[in-house]
Amino acid sequence: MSIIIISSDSKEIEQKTASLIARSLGYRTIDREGIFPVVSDKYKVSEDELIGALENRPSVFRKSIRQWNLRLSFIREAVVEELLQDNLVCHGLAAHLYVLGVSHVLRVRVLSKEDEKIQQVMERSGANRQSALKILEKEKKFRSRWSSDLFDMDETDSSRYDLSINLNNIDLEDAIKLIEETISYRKFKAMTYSMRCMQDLALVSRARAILLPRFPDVRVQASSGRLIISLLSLKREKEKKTKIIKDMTGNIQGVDYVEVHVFNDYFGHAAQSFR
Amino acid sequence: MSIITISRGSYSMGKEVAERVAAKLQYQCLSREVILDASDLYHIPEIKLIKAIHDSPTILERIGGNKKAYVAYYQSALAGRVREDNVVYHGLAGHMLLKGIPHVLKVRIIADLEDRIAIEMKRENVARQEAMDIIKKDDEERRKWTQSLYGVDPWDSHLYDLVVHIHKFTVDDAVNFICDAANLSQFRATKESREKMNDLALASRIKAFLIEKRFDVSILSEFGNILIYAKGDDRLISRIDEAMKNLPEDIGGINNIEIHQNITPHEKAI
Repeated sequence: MSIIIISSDSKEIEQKTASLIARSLGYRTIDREGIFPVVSDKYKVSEDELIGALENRPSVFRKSIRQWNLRLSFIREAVVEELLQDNLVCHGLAAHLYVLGVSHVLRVRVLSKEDEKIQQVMERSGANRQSALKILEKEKKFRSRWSSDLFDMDETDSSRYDLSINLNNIDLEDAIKLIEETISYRKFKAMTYSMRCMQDLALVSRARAILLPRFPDVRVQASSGRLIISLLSLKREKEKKTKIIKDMTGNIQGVDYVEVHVFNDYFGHAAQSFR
Repeated sequence: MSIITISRGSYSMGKEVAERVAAKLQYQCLSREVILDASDLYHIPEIKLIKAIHDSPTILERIGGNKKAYVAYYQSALAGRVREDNVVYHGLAGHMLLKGIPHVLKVRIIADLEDRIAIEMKRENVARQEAMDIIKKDDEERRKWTQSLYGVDPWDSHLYDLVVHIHKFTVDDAVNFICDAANLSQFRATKESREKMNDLALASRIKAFLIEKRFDVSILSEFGNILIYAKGDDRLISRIDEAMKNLPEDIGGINNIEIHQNITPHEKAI
């Protein structure tokens, strides 16, 4: 009755670790292969665009940033829906960045062997060791910026995880044993409160996926079935937007009450008055 | 039969973890003892040494190299202490100072800022903002210190074998993880890994001796063969050569000494 989220600096290691743990514990794996077709079908977004959202940063144009946010919100909604169930190993979907504050989720970072990483880059790009090191450093910085841009947190920062294991000196088999032993701790069993937290995360994800196409700057929180939505708007549009948002979100499964906070958009107001 | 280094931020429960790991494994627990050893060996007041190795170097110190000297003394004292194995060390940059030794398990203990603030407020009886400022300043000093001396960020998890976040995990959980990892075969001392430890102890002792004589050098020891890397003219090399003839008698195990002039030090040189 637990969830393990695996993140790594190497896709191969991430996938291998997740599948070995899932097989050994008899858990189900949540990964891109399972999630992307669902998202693609539901929101009519191609799988390449979904991969792009997880692996690229948007260009500086506002439209591109909106599209990027939107695709990620679709992925997030599908992942959190799955995580409402138990006994899962999730990887490759950036879940470590948005599944926060749920006590039955164990977030693990597995760091691959440095020499193997260098070797892979050298083979992939034909670079020498020195250049390969530079490429790896660049990739690390990219991931750091990617996660900071979107979630305001650095995915390479170990404080984002419960446990980080470096495979330079610890074998993958030993790392897996350690993770398996850890997940058997009572604290990682789903409890009423932790399930409630996960349900709130699901509400937020559902509401964001519905609202973002129309209100790209909306902020959504949830607490025990109550949806709290805040956004900026011109004063004269306040009532209209509140009604639209309530209509859009009132029927979401699990929502008891919708609270909308509209704040005055002074910049928008100033821009309008200059027209 | 291994060495465990525990890196920690202030109020991150790292000290408690280290002490309990040492008690569970029946290892020696070291921290302040290293400062006392360095202070005794190199005749530096303890308070001066603590300040030098805690605060990040100022611009003047970077030019003057004083900080490097203190770190060399400290490294020499630490390597001397841990060469006999079965040690848990929690203190300054153990993961960097003992880099390259296979049977060293490098652990970092981290805690949430909010939890650390709560401990600081309780222990020091200070307001929340003051507690937060103290912790952030301390973290920043540590970061600058490691970056200025080793060019790495102490928060980078690649520097450690295991990083345990004390939040969902308790101190007891962290102790269990570390003890389990320490029992893995790769962290048990072997003849070869002990040889490397002895080489590091020897190199750091010689480096401290030469830095005391104001020579800015890098040293590598391989099976007691000493390579000294120095930047300078022939006169400097002959002065180093002369100084090496007066090495203290208790520095033993040297087979051969080579001094390399104006070449890039080996990556494993300290």
